[in-house]
Amino acid sequence: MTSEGGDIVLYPRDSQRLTLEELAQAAHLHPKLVERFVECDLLAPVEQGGSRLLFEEAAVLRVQAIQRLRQDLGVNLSGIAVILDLIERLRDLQRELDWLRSRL
Amino acid sequence: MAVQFKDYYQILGVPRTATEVEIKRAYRKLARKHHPDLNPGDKTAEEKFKEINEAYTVLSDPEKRQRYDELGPNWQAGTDFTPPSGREKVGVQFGDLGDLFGTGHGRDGFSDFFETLFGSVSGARAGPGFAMRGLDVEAAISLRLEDILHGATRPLTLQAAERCTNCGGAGSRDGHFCSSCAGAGVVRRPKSLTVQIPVGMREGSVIRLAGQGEAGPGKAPAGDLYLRVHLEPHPLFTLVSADDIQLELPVAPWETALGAKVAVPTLDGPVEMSIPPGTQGGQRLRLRGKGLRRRDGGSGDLYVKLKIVVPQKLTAAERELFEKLAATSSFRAREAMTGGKQ
Repeated sequence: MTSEGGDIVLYPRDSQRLTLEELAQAAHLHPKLVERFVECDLLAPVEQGGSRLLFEEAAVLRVQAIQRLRQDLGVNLSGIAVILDLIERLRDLQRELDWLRSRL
Repeated sequence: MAVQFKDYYQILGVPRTATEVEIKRAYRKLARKHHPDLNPGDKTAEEKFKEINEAYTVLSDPEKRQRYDELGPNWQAGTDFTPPSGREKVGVQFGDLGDLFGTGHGRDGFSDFFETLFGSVSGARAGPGFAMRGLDVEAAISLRLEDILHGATRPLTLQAAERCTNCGGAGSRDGHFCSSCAGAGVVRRPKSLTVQIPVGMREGSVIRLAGQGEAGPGKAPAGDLYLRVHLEPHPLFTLVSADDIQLELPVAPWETALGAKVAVPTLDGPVEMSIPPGTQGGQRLRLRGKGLRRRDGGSGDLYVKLKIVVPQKLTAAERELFEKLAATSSFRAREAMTGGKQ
């Protein structure tokens, strides 16, 4: 195989929204636990489809990160909320720094 | 295949006599420092954490620790290791990590040393109520603004675990460890894909490709592939909000003073823009709909920020005209600042 890429082109389904159950399944967690993440404001649904909560696909990665922080570091849910906010700020700053450096 | 011995006590920085509490404390301390979620994009932290996690998996489990200790204290980290004979392979159960909480370790399997000693967990994930599946893979993909505006097709090469063709994923052949995957059932090799980037991606957006993650153990399905979008800095355009971009456009003083029609580059190619007479330097003109396209079909705007530039060297004719203008003009550039006195 070459680094030019395979012959098969993969098309992600456009603009996917996941239900809470689908999100839990994709993240390999129990839906009740994901529900608890939402209740603790660790995770925000993008829209409400009728009585169902709908999430972006990026939520899968967030849920997995939450779970890793719980298991690996023993952080509680309020601690995780703070950590995730700080990581987000860190990412923004890193992005800005990269951009400023690219202008030097 | 030579397997290198790993000194798990050294990795956690604890003596061989360390208690469970000391081991846990050492692990937590190192995990805080090297955790991949706390060090986004840092490959060395990721590798280090994998090592720490593996050491803790062994030393925090009395049974595994005992098996490890039975090897004796005389092994040096990094030396070639052959397991003592008469040692049967034992599978690792992750199911006890939490009942309601499942496991969901989205990371690579353990080292060859670990697998030689304790059997394979690579590519495996067992959560209560969930079928075994290959690991999900998360990778970054760098895109240009042009790519997210129109959508694009991008070739991509990943290091991914695929089912070992020698043993068909079983990890062993004729009662022996498979020689090509060292018993893991999966082998890591570069995997090439071509991915269609949908319109409307943004920094941090995630593209999910179901079933394109790591191969599962045995006949288990593969995990998913998640591509996190990173936008490359553009030489001309900067993002000013989620959908709007800005361009700094150099203009001559007479173009803003008299007004002009100028060609402006956009992500879609150049368009003509009118500069109204009397426009100031630094002022922003808006080109509606020339920003980034959204998933809902709408578009952001392009802001054109005018930057007045003058010739660095004037020709004799230009100098004459500027001097004439300076002598004739009643314009006071700093009037607002000085109250009319210059």
